[in-house]
Amino acid sequence: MEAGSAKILSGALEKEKSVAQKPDTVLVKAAINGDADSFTELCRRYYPAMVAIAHSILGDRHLAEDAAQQAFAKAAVKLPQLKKENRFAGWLAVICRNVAKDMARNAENIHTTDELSMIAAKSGDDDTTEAVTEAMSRLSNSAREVIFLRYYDGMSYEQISSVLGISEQAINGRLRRAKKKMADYLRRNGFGEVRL
Amino acid sequence: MNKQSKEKRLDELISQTINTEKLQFDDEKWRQKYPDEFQTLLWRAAKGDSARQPNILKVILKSLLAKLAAAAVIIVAIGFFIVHQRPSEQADTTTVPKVTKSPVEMVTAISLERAFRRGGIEAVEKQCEQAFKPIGPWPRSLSVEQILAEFNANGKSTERTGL
Repeated sequence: MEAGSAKILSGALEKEKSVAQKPDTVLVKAAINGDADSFTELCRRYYPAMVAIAHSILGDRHLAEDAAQQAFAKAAVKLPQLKKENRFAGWLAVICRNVAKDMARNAENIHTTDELSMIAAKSGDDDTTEAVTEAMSRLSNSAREVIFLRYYDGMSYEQISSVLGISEQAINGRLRRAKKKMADYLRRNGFGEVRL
Repeated sequence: MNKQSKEKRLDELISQTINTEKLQFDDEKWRQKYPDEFQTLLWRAAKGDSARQPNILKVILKSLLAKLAAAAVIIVAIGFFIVHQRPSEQADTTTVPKVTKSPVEMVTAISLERAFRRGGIEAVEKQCEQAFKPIGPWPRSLSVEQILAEFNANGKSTERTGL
């Protein structure tokens, strides 16, 4: 009996492993045809990225996780409408962005400087962290999104590129400009050479 | 503090500020939270290939041969439509009676005499009707005999006058 269940478990693990090795396009095709395992693998792959995108809009991690899950639910239904399988990540990002914006609009959760400061305070960090949060809140949506994607889960430029649908050079430029703005803000607000 | 170390410090600060706990997607929880959406996904598997019917337009636009074939089908269809659109008009054009003689020729004395020899008074009447048909109705009060008499009289007068 135990041997049987161990065999089933190892079989399931094998399957999971083989699914995890497949490229996005194969998984998307399978998911379109109703393969739940393939869809789950896609969700696993893009969960951190989607949470990062939603977090950059909502300013709250738990809400961001809800938004990402809701985006996956919408994607599960709309998947047959996806025209190009290799654009899955970008397509999912658009859905997630829209879900997060709707959530923010409905619950009036669009983060203001004060709210972001509260998030920083809640995390128990010092005034530097608060200032960094403030600096991030002053960035444009697209710049903040790149910052979150880069630092949330240590995503590579290649991964960010597939999610945002822009070149790695463009991401590099956007990231540099965003960081420069943040650094300028911090410098202006007394976080100069010594502390930065 | 040089530029590189400043940048490194900023990276650290951003990482600290953004809560970077490891994120894990819990698929069981997601399925429980969104059962309808998950069922929709599974329903496609049960439905099989028919769930995603091929877009005919997409298939046609992908192949040059298919494009040409589609164009040919459209041309044939248009041609077929034009040919069969007005069958009555087509019929009219094919049944136009072929006029071998002019009305004037048909009512000359010689022509009428020939007709009389061929089929009697009925043939003469028929020839007259055919002769007058293109130029409109002719008075029914005027009989064929009268016409013939008039023709004969004209014939005699021409003999007399020598014309």
